[in-house]
Amino acid sequence: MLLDDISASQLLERVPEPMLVMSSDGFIVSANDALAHLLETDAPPLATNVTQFLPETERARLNPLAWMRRWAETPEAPELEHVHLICRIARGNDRPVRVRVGRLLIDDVYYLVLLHDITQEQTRQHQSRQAHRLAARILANSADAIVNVNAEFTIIYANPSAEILFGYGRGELVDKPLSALVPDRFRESHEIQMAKFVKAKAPARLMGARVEVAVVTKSGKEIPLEASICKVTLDQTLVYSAQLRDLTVRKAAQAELARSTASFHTVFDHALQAMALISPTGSVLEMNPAAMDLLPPGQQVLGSSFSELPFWSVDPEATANWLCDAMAQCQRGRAYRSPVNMRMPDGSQRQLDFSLSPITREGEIFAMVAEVREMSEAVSPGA
Amino acid sequence: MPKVTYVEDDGTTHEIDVPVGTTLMQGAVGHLIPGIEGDCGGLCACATCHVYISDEFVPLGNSADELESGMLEFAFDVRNSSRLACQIEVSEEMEGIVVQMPLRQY
Repeated sequence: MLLDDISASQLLERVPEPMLVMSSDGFIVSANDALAHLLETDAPPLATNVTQFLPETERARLNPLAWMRRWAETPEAPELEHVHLICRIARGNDRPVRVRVGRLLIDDVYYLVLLHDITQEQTRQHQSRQAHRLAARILANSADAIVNVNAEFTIIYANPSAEILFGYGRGELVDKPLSALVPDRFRESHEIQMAKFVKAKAPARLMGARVEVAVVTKSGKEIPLEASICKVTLDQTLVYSAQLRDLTVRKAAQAELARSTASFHTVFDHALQAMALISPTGSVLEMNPAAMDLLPPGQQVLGSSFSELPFWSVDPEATANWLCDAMAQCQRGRAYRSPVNMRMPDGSQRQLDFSLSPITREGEIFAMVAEVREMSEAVSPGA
Repeated sequence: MPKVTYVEDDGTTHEIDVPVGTTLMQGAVGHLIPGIEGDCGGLCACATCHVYISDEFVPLGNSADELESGMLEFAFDVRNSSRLACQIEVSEEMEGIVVQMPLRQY
């Protein structure tokens, strides 16, 4: 059978995509069932104008008919890949349709119009775009610096935290070699470490674990970082992603804490006065050597109940009562001070000046300091 | 680098430093500013980077040519101040320019 034997209407009818033939002013002379299906009507729209279902859009200046005539003249127009018309279907809903138009020269000019419903395509594109945006925004807003490099260790992405950390402007890190961030003295060992990492078979793993590394900023300043690296392969494209955290503040805080702890122990351990740090629940947190001298040698104290230590064995019941009152007073934020009888390691009894003071932090009692002095140093509470 | 303020339809603002010589669309897309898509990548073939430029900044840039005006027909809620951000190249004189985005690009 030759193509000439097939009538134009038969051909149009068999095409599965919505299709119509219209005059230059938009009147439809032929349309197929696929168009009826798209428009959710019983029969194809005939003797009506195409603008009935490809209307001018509200709040836009688009003239669909004019554009369709234009596209018939320029079927390769670049915008045809991107723009769409709005198709109004019978229920009054709108659907985006991609349009292709061809000019037919019979006696007059007619146009062959193909419509392709892109609702699902647009939904998928939107979902994909949103997922990409979400991932990109998480990377962009990450407090950790993230630097991605390719198989040649050239930086292909650096998030804003990384740019700030390394002192570079927007986009300046991209295309730089990773070695630009490594101090000269570490460059060789870094290359060896990266070579080992490249050979690792695991598809994604930490570079050993989170490790401390030193990097160099744009201004040449060296800063300590905690780094972890993972290896990701997608469509045979290899990417190494490094998550980096500035340790400058943490290291300074650790040094300050170490200095502070050392200062505390210098005073605490060398004080002639017996002192103990007690938790709010009455457990011993710290005790200095002068206080340990009041206990039998080898006595375990850390974590023990302060009220049950051997030096309170003179009158355990009475001691438990007043010590309970003293702690309750401390819990209310007031210091307690009184002469007390204590048993010495040699079994003798001595009257000593005892005090218990609360230590508050942000309005909360977080510890108490117990002190014992010779009676000659005793003063009345509140003096 | 001129500072550009992108304003979403709900009033959310994003202040971005955009390099001279790039376009307002590239500045927005490069910084993941919601409300500008730039589907065609700057070919003036999609009308998904539709923005409104306030009168005071209009003289600083080029004016819309025939191609851009044509594509603007596909944009939603077109006004006299409508432009396609991919057709506006950023210059030093645009420091402080305010770019308002429409409700949607599709």
